[in-house]
Amino acid sequence: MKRSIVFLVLTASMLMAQVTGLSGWNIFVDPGHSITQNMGVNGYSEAEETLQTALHLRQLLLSKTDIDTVWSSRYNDQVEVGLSERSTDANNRGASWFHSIHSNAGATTHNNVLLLWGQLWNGTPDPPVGGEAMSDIMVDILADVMRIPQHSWGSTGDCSFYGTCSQTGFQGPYLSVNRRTNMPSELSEQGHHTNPLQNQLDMNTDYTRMLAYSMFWTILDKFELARPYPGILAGIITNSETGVRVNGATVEVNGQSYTTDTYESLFHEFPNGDELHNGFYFFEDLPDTTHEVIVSADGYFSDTLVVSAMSPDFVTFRDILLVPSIPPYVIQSNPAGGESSFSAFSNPSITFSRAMDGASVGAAFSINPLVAGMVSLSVDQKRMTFQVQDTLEFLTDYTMSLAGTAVDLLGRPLDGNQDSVGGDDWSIQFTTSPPDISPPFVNASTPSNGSTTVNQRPIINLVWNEELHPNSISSDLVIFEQVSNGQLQSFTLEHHVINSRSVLVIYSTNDLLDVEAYRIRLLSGFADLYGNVRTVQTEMDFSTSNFGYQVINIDNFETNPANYWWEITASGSNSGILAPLCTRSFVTDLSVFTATDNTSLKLNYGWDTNASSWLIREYLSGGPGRNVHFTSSKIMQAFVFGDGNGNKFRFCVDDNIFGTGAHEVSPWYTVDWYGWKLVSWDMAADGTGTWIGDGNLNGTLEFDSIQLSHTPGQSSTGTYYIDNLRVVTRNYLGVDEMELQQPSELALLPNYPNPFNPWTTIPFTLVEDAHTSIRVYNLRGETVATLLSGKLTTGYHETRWNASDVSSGVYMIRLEANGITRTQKVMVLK
Amino acid sequence: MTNKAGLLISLLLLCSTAVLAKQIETKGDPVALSRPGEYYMGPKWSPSGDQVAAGGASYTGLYLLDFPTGNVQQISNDYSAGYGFAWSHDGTRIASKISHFNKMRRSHTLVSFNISDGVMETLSEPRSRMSGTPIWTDDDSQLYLTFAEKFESFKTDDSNQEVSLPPLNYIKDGRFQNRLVLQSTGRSSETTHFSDQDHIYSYAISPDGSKVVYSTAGQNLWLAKVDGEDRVSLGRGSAPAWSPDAEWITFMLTSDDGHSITASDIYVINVDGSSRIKLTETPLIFEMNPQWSPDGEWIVYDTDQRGQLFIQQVGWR
Repeated sequence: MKRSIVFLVLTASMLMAQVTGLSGWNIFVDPGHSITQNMGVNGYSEAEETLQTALHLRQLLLSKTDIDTVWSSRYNDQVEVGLSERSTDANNRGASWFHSIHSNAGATTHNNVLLLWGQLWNGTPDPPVGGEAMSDIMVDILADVMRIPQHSWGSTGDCSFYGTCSQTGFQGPYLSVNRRTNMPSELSEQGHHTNPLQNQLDMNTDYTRMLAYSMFWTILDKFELARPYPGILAGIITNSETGVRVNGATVEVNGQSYTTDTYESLFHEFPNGDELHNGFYFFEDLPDTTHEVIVSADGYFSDTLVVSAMSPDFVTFRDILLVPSIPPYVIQSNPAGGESSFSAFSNPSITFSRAMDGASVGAAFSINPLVAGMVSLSVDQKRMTFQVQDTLEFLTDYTMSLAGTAVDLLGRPLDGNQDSVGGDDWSIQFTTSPPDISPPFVNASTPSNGSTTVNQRPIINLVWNEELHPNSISSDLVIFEQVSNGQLQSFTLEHHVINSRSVLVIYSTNDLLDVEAYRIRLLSGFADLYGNVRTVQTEMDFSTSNFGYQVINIDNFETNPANYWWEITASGSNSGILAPLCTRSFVTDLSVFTATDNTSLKLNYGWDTNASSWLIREYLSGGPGRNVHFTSSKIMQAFVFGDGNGNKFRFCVDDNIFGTGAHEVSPWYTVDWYGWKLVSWDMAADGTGTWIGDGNLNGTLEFDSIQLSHTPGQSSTGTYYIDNLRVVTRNYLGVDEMELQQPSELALLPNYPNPFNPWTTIPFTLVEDAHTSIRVYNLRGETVATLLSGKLTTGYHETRWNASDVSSGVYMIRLEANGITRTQKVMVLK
Repeated sequence: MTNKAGLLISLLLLCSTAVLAKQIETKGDPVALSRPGEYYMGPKWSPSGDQVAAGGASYTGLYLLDFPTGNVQQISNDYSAGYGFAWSHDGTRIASKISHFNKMRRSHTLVSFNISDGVMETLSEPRSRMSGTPIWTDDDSQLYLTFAEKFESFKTDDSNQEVSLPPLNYIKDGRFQNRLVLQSTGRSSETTHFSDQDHIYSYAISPDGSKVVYSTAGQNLWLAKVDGEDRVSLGRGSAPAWSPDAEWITFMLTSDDGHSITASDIYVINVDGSSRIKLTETPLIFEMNPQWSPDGEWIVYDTDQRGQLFIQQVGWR
């Protein structure tokens, strides 16, 4: 009996330690930072994430191997442990190895894996060596487990990465835990906690366990020990239509069940928890056989898939797209139900919640009284247009209907009354307008007639009361002249139709004179769609201002804007929106006309008129635009192509970005104009609007977002185009306009902010194209950082310095261009 | 005596004590003990005060620097030899733990180095696991390990004579232990009266053996009797060391950003906590690990990043 017990105990012990070969070895695991330091973008900190990973790694090693022991620099998130305490603890314990776990920070679009091993100033590994070899293995496995790229440096020495080591200065290793420990060591950066999707994944403790597996496998690989079969099945469950990860989805495998995180189970612990999703599921220790995986979630069709082969030594990933089970429905129609003056020359249209089957929609559509025409679907198959063969009848009551037999691409029938049950009809009534017998006329312009503050390169928008016939539009009918002498001005003419109105946009192709009167004359000949021809001339006068602008571009939407501007629906700040109608895109068919500017930001909005508040936050998450720092002395501007619907637009900035930053907004601008208008927020003079900040523009600012809102009673749908987002300084005539455009001397301009911590912006001007360098020196004359080195063109430039790696004190910035130098002092204050 | 009278007398005594208490001050600027480009960590004065021993970069190797000339003699090039070493009380030997690495595995050996000829004597067999750093008994006949996982002593000579251990203080599992208290109370647990929350990272016993100053997580510095009684906070700091007259304590206070030390300075504080003085004011140099010279006139410290050793003369007024 005793023997049996001993045998069972031994068997259990052997089963627990699946891997032998680590006996006589130990490791000190160091979860970076403490408590909730280095907060992630969604409210989960690097310190919490690294602690979870470290505890899982410790548990894996102790339970699955015969390792002697695993120490950790901290076992909870209550105690603050400093850097010197971490290395001291490891050294006192005499650990065989040291591994520090971190995650990275940066732009919200960045997410990658980086390994940093201890390195001396001369590039050699810091003895005792070993961290480099461990890093080279881990960087591959960790990136594969996270399914994100490696940092461009991959696995590298810390002196090479930070670039600040030298023989007589900072001898290295750069990282304290690599330098002050007396055993082999390395530091891993497991993705970016500033990446929203990554930060939401990190909240799931099983996700951090998966990351710990990558480190566990790295150690086994380094020891050339076979990995035990892990039986891990993991993946992400996503809404097949919206791309949003699904909360509360249940995955059943091998008699086990896993439910993805929900607000109630996890996300309520974080700010904006109702906007968080990760869709992550995780099983381990599944048997090595074929598995049937059943996935279900409220509002989705259940799905079943078969995993025929489990990975013998890695994660078996299966991502799952769940298809929403709610039936398709009509989001909007044109005309809307009850409209009393729908143009008889227009084509009715219907927009659906998802892509539809064209044949079934065509068969289900009807209009009464009967009208000859043809049904067509848009490219995305979400919008149906009834193309009338001739015209509708004037002053006629129509009923437009869709039978419940219209189905989506998966055969789900239309939900005409939106009760979540498909198969019922949809219909509206509308009335067409009376016949048009009047010629068109201009009833508005931007800038307005008689304006005296038009800038030197104006964009003139002439808004008509109705749509012009395209064949009647010609630049020959437009005269753009200087009033004083009749001098003709060159221009480019564009025609756009907005809400059944024509807008003629006139771009001056040259700079006009300052403080000078100009006139636009529209000659007779413009006609509407019904053949009514305008027989009289129209005039519009304006004069130019006595100032210009020194421009710092934030984004002109020409270079990879989709990498940095979120989809509208990605923001948790939105309210009162009809999500399917809210889209952002970058288009070339309508942008501010210049030789180099071809693209603008297009925002389609749809408001839920039953809501009590409305907000769209179109967020700039990163890229060069986020690196433009300024103060409230600037004017923020953007060209906004309005739809005249009377809804609202404003700017949002982050203030005090080097301290306790907040969001501040401009006043709302009611978009009652058609065509381009330069919207300007003079931050010093116009004050702020009300949102979640304190109403003060404190410290250093950077751009955050474009925001839109609804005006009750106005149209619930529409489109804005936005271009040339920028901050400017107004330059008055005779002061320095030309000087700013063509700098007269090499100049290193005052950095801002100053003092600073850790970022400052350093502006400078070049008088000629030059090989230019900017370096930072400490007061001993040692190079601290090289900010740029390369060929630059003449004009105004900026560069930035992140001083997080240096201590407080005075430093010298030195600009050198073509052998000429400029130097100035800056102060880091921490 | 009324309560008021007692209070008045107490105040007068306190004031007179404050008036009479000597104040520390720096004398001149810090002086470099080692040359630029040489890297040392964790300096410790010899008992005679004429040498400073220090570890090399990453605590590899052990070096002796003459005071005040800075002439260098390397007495070991072993891994870890420069971490947590201890001078014997007679100044003739330095005990340390050296490490060997072979295919990721580490072995530790307790050794002592003879200062006069540099000969290394092995005091333990190589072990894959040996936590702690050595401390000499008062008569230099034995070594024991502090910060170890279990109490263990090692004879330092070849005699077969059994030597009973005197009262010892050491750290086990981050907790302060006192064998005198253990022997006198017969408690099975070795932990004394220190708070269970106190994980000790660094400590120093006063020259008379009655008090201990130690740092816990977050650089919280404490002063207590060795039995754990009368614990008082000395504010923030770590790596403490006593002045020879046991009236002052020097320590470092560091800041970091999770990757690098971003600031560090050397402080001194009176044992009654009445005077806390910052000795270094160099924002670009991070001074760490101070140690008081046996004559009380100098403090030696290392510098993060550069690894250069400096000495600062101090005096009283």
